Amino acid sequence: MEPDGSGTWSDVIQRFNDLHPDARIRMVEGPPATNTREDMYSTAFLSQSGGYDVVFCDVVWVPKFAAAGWLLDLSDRLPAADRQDFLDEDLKAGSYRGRLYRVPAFTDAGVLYYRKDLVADSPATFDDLKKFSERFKDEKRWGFLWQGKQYEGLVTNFLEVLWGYGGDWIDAETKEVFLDRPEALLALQFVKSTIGTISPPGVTTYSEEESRNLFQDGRAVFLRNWLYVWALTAREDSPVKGRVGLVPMVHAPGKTNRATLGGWGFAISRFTSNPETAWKFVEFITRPDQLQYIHERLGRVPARKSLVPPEFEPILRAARPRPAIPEYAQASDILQRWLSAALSDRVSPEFALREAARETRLLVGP
Amino acid sequence: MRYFARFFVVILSVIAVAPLVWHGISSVKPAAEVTRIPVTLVPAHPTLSNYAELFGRRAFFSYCLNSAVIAALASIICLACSSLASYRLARVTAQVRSLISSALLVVAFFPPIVFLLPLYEIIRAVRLVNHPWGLIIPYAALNLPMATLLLTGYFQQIPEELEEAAAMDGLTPFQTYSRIILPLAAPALVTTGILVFIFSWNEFMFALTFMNLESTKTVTVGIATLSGAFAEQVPWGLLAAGVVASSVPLIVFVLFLQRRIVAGLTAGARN
Amino acid sequence: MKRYAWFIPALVLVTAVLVYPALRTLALSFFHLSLGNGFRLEFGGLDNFVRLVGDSRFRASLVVTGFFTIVSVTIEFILGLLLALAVNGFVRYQGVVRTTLLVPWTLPTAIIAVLWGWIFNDQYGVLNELLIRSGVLHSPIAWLAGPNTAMAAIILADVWKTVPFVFIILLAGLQRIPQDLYEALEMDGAGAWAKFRYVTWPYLMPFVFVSLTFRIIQAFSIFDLVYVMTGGGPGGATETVSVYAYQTLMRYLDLGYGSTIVVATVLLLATVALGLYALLVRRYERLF
Repeated sequence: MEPDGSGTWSDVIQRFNDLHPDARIRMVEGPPATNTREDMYSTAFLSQSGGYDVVFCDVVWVPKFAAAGWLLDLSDRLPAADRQDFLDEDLKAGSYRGRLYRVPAFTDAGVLYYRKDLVADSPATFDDLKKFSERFKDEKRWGFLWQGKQYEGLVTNFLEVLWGYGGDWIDAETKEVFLDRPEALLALQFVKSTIGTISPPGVTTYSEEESRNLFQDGRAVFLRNWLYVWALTAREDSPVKGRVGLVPMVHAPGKTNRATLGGWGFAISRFTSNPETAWKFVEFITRPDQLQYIHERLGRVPARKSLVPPEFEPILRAARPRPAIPEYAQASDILQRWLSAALSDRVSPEFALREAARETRLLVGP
Repeated sequence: MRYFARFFVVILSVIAVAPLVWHGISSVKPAAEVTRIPVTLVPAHPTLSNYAELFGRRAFFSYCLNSAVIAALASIICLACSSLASYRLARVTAQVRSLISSALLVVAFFPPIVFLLPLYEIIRAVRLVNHPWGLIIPYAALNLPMATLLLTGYFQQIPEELEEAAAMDGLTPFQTYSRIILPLAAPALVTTGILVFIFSWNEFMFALTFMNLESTKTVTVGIATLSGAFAEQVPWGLLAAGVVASSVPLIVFVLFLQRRIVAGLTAGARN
Repeated sequence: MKRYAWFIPALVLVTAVLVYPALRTLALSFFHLSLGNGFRLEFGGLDNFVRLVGDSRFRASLVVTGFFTIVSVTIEFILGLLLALAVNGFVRYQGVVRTTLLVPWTLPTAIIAVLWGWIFNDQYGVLNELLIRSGVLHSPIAWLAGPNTAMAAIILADVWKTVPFVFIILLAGLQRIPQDLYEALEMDGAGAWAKFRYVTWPYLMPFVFVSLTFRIIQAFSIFDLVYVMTGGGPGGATETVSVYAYQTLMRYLDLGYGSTIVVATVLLLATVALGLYALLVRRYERLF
């Protein structure tokens, strides 16, 4: 599990244990870094033993864990009514080869936040983003903040721009790789051109929180981040309270905007000694009332159509999952390394994309 | 020359503690101030809320206690095993010694990450997950090569005549070792012990994997699993408070131990 | 038989905890076992090693690790030695000074790395703030953004952390040197350098050897600092062998190839280190 700073998860688990005196669910808190938690699960699974019964599972882990045979197939357990209510993309992202392995709990997507007190019309294209950034940036305020550290976040940022130019990364079905297409080069050139002009030179070392803190402090016009930022900018002590708008990531003229789908759900370990209790718990915690409770306490957005706050609907409509391939972690690393190399001027964008495409093809095969 | 040496030591001591002092400053800032620009070198609104969280909502004392027990036992076991081995090692022929040392070194070359998975399997098999011994034994073993080589160097410099004299007084080899050699080697034992203790106190990856109950967590894992109000937040102030609160007892402990050595040495010199 | 009884506790401990995993890693390096082949154990002979020879990412990480090890261990050793010599001359306050200098070693790397990232941050980082206030810099530097400055930042953090390790071992060695040897040299009218050259250095040799060996080993397997501060970036410029091996083993779930990376690195390191050891033993035979 993620760390439970506010005690919200313990509350929910306590309620479940009260309802089911014969079952005992115990929460194991991991560190905030998601890849450290991924590795904790991997270690337990690799030893072929039931270290954990229920997995609080990120979207990008599903193909890997499912392909490794570590998760129980939940397709037949999920009632049809629930299947109707969960967001389609989140169900799809919880599936691998047509079988459901992860019940969605919370959805997430990349968002472009902007200062609506400065930018009158909501921005639509990359040119808008540049134009408004140039116009409203000054000594104490940058134009556009994003996450450029060499890590998973860089890929999600780049994907939104790439999709906004009409490009793509990998087709999970046909295994086709599109990274050496012209759209990809345009996308990388755009991202690169922001560094040192409308984005601070240090943007290539930022992850989510570094960029959010700057934006929330009033030091940028635009911020690309996730849904959690929305509630935080609206807090009483936030210097930008009431001055923030949100749209999906902008796009090139004539193309559509896309957001990278994130989100969390619950899966069950194949090595569990007690699948029935585990399922009862997953069913309980993904119930609308529990999700709503967690939403109110933690600001996470429930992955149920009936519970999505209206302001997020346009973003979630634009959301698209990352390719569901078992080798995802490796493919993402290839892209991260070459993007980061191009952004830090170690190689040219053309070379970076060519090499990334070549290595990715070697990895996923034709 | 002497003044230059003092100056050099003072400068490096300042550099050594400066980051910790900075973490101390950050730990008493309210969350909003940690990310303020420009950076405030003196907290504008000092608060102890981070420490309140640490000691109030979190079982920080129990984390420290777990770590202290684990680190102490690991150091003692490591010292016991390695001092026995290195005492013999110091008294064998050079060829045998270099053979054994090389073998030890080769094992030490493996980066700790490769031990993680096989050890986890073993620990699970012998049912030591969430049990202090599940960490004590690996920590003692991981430090054994270093401790053995360090102590061998020390024992070699103890003249063999001492042992011959002891044998003439009718002491068995083990009595010689425990009553004569060990006290002579006390400074090296303490130095090695401190290194092993600190290593065990600070180890993270094994502790994270082998201990996951709130009541068995070590201090490093305890700090690393701290979080802010929401999952994405990196709780800088809380982390800084955790680092300060965990290292202060450690530093006091080391200081105390050092005092004891100095006292012991001067006592030894007088006899 | 009795002579070997002394080794038994150490042997049991090392075998139980270290030897089995090491042998297992060695064995796995000749097998295919990965997510890609459905975790079926298939003998591959030298396949993995052939793949390793052509792996440019492995070569790059080896260069990064080698560079990091040489630079940081050299700096650490020089600073540690100077500190040990200086502190050894202290009559008063030695305990306090020793403890003060030990402070960096007492802080947990896994957590400190997060805070280092914060110190090196271009906007909120205290390092830039101090440098600007003291007039060294005009505008903030994004330390972790450039390949060279990121490497420098990691070396700095590592040197800061591990100088105490070298220092405390060398100091223990210095305190073993019999004072009468110096007095004898003094009577011959020898200067400070002669005393260092003919007494201090040879007597310190075993401690130099231990501290250097273990620093080299630790530096070569550096993981936490890099993984947290830069993630190996930018563009793999700070990716060390350990980070690559970790990614391959734990994240790509390629246990065979990941083991090969480790085994090849250990072989390489062992060749260098044992060569060095043989050289030292020949030179200072009396002391080993």
